[in-house]
Amino acid sequence: MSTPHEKWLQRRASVGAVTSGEADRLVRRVEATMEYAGSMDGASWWSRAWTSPGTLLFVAAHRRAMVGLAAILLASTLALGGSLHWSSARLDQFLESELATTLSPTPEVALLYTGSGRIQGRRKSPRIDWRVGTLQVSVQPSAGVDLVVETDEATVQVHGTRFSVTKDLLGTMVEVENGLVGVTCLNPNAASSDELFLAAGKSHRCLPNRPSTLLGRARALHSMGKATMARQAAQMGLELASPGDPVRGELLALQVEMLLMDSLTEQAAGLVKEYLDEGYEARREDMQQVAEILRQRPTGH
Amino acid sequence: MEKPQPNPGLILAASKGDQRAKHRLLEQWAPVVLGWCTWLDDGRIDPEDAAHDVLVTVLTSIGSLRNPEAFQAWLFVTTKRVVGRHRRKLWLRSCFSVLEENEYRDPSPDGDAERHQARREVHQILGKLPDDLRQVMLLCIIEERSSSEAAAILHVPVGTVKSRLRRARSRLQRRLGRDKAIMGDPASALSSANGQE
Repeated sequence: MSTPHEKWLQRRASVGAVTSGEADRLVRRVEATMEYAGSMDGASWWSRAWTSPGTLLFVAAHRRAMVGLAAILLASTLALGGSLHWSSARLDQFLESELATTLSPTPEVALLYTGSGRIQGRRKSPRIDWRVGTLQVSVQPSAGVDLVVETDEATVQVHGTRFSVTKDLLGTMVEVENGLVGVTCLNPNAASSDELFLAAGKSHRCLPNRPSTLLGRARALHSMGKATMARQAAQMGLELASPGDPVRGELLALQVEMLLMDSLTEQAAGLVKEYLDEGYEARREDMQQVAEILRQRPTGH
Repeated sequence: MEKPQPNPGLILAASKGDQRAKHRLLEQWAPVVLGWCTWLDDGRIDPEDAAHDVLVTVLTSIGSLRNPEAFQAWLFVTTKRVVGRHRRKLWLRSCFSVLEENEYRDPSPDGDAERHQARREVHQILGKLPDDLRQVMLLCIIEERSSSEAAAILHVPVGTVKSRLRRARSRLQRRLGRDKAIMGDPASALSSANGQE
């Protein structure tokens, strides 16, 4: 129920109400804007606002004030930091050095590296694809930087800290000096692929997840004289390879060879038996000869 | 003005990017949004500019609307926000003396004197009210919506709408009863209003 005053207001509002002509003009204007926006291929409203006639007129009318404002901003920026770093600035730089090299790609991140990789992304979310060598990373705590280091075997997520990533033939080693780091080993066969949080002083190694890769790495490490790491890689490969898989046969043969070189005859004899029992053919004669020799010799280390 | 009812099917189609649905939605709601932009301010901003910004915002971000039932409330909130932004922009420009802050815009560019006068009178009434009372007066008195409908649009309890409405009515009564200079001859105004019943 309306009072007379409300009736008066309603009547005046209806006299001054929007006409169909005004509404039609608005619809056409909005449609034109939407078509223009569609043709801009994602250009932001902000960028269009800056090139609109109204804005340009406004800037032209106050150009002295604008120039002064820009000068003050530039002077204060230079006084504060000496260089401009925008959070949206794109990073793309190759990291390649045989000597220990330091680099600060953004004010919040410092790198010390020997090896090769590439840093990409933005200031607040850098991504480092680390191929080989050792990379030490220091990130300013509480700076809102979401830095990730990726290798073939692991993804390392920074939670404001200092840590190092060593990518070698065996796998990827992450060692934390300060703060907290999340490590996700890219191994679908692992019991858990969840992010593992490493506190200061802790380390974790992510290994390859395919027996054939581990066989190749074990051979490479063996030829380089790194016996312990080579045996570790071969053992990891044996755990992943199924009986009957020729790769497992090769891993067994390689492991036998390495164990014999270290005079671990008892363990070698066990693996020779596994090789013969599982029916591999490629090195069968060699393995039979080794078995014969081991039978004639007294057992021991 | 006939008030359109939100059509959930149309809103859902528009939110999924159907261009025809967006066009239909624009045609349906442009007059409503233009009316809101006209009456939510006191006549200093350009309502067409504000309504344009509201509709472009709504059409580009309708995909983020989860509940089609909430469309009208979302539209009203967007309108309030855009009108507020245009007011701030006006104030900022007045600081640089580009435009007099208190300059009243001619709302009828086609030169309709009667409409211009009516809008000016309504703006003089609404312009004296705080934003919350102005919103209730727009929805419940000018657009003649029920308290529950206004409560849904404003996202407040029905009791709050009723109390705001009571305060708005009392102010309207005081204003129309006392300020004869603005209303001209209130007696003739009231009698003409009564003649429409």
